[in-house]
Amino acid sequence: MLKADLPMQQDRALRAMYRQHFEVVQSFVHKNQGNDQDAEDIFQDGLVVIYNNIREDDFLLQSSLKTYVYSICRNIWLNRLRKLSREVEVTDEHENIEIPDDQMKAIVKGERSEIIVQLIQKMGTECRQILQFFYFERLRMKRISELMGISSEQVAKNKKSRCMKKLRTMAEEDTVFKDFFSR
Amino acid sequence: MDNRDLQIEKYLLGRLTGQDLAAFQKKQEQDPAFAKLVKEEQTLVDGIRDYSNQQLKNRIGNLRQQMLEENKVKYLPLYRRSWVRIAIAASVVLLVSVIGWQLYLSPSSLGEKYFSDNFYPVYNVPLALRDSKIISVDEIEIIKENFLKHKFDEVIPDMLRYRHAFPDNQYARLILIISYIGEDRLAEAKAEFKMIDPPGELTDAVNWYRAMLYLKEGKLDEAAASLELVIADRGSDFREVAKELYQEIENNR
Repeated sequence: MLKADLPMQQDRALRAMYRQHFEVVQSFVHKNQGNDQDAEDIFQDGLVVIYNNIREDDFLLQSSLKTYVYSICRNIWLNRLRKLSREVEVTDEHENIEIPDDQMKAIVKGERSEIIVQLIQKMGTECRQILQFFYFERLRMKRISELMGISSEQVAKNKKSRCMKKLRTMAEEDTVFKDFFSR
Repeated sequence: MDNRDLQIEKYLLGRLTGQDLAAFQKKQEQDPAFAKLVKEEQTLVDGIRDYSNQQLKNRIGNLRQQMLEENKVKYLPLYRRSWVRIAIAASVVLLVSVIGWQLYLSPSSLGEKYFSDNFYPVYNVPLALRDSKIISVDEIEIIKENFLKHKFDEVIPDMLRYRHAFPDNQYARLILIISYIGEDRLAEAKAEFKMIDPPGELTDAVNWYRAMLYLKEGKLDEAAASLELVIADRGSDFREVAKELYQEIENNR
């Protein structure tokens, strides 16, 4: 249900994830030097990672959902502890699995991309929405045209291309962004 | 869009595989201008995804806040609470549960429970209002923010203004109805229900929210009847949740 493209269905799925899996993550964070706020933050980052991963065409869940959620959140928390140079002697209460690095990329942000984020915030609602639907939700153009009430798939495609071109132009005109690319 | 751009787009979406992917990677190695172009496009797409992730995290944070306010989840696990508190809480729960059991089984409290479990504002306001000539994009963003955060008292005046200018816009009317229900202004919601004339794609949503109104009023039979209409609509996005809710109502009747 988390893979659904309607906000209501997604919200129900996110709520269900909280109800079903938060406690085990909270308990893990508590037992490994963290507090309630850390647990909330880690769990929310974990949900973001999972939301991204299940949208990959080749994603295949190879454990129970509970183990997957726990393992993702466990990774995020241990990485955060390591960044703080804290010694980590892990106490686990639940089975965990190895998570490949490419499944953790949703929380790794580059400086260049941060500049693009600021440019996107300056774009109009429709452009932001169509680019998000296409590149983040990975929806097909036909579905995007239905969701946005656009008359046809071709019109949606053209809109998307125009928005992408606009973003590209904004990036090319941004001096900070140009500096990054000339390095 | 030419073939080169199409290939880049497929690559960025992770949809290039096998020989196509190998050829693409080889071209990147051999053609610096092409590699630069791919890198730039990748940066733009990474930015779109990071922006979306920030939005998603904010949305999850808001949902969590709503859940905490609804007391649906306990914030601290039991073992972190003091035994004294647990003992006091247990005594109170025992006392209240004896008195409250009969109340709990009443249609009005059951309706309230089902309502609070299932009532969410779902309509994407900016999409419904995007053709507006009287509300700016910034205002639409504010309405959307308020709507999704259940600040219906702030949505209602804006939607009344919009509906006044565009009386035929049924999306606006539905948003107004949802906001009235959220604010417990049921008489006004009912009046709007009488006037709504939903196009085909909105019929199921109207029936779903009509069920929400009946639940709020404790009218379980009427709510179930509205849910049946949603369930009968095979193309409805509300169908699965309507089935679950209908079953729950049936089980407790």
